[in-house]
Amino acid sequence: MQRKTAERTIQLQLGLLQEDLARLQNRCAGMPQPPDVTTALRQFKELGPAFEAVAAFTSVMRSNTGSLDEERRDQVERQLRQLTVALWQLHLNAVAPRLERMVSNIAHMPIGTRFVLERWVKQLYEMKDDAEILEGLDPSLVARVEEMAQRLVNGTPDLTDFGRS
Amino acid sequence: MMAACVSSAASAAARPGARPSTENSDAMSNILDILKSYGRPSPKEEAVLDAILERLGRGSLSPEDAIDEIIERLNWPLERAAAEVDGYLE
Repeated sequence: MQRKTAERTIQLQLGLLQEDLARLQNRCAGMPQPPDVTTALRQFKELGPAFEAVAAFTSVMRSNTGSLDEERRDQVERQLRQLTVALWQLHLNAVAPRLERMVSNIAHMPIGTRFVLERWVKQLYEMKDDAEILEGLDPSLVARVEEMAQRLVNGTPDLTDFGRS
Repeated sequence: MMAACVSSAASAAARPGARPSTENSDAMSNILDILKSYGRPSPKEEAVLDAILERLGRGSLSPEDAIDEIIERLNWPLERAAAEVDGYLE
């Protein structure tokens, strides 16, 4: 009985996760190319919480698979990994043009850019620690995004960098 | 259905001037008692909850739908989900 309830819950949640992914795909597809660095940074910052909420949901789901039998649990964990890879691929594809725009005019990035990008680089490194996720991603895209983000961290002002002209 | 009833009551309670302020503070105290009994959500649960409440705040989710989403995504009981939504609306 408990397993049946757990199975129904996980089916429902996997469905919600698919919907989340589709919603994010639409949102990213509808995002215009940033005409300037300010728009690029704003779009980049908007994408973060949207993806983080879905990633948090996958973590919550993963912690709730204990009531499933072992075979089903393995199957659900595989599905969750595939969805996590799809989420990261989408996120990387969405941030790449925003980062390109920012890097192209790095001297004009506003105060606080470094803080935002440092947070992103930290998330990227945490993701790279998970080999199963990393191997599902386009390696050249990961490398390009990381390189651009690192350049921005090194070349943009921090929150307290008021003296920068 | 049950969620909708609880939530409708919550929405009514949240309307400015709907009740005398002492009743509003009693309602808030009840909400806090309920939430305390469940302990703190984990950071991941909190991120999911914040995203749902943010959609509620933007008006893209009704209180009833927000309660349903919390139950479905976090496996929380109705009482806890309704208290979170009530607390947010208060």
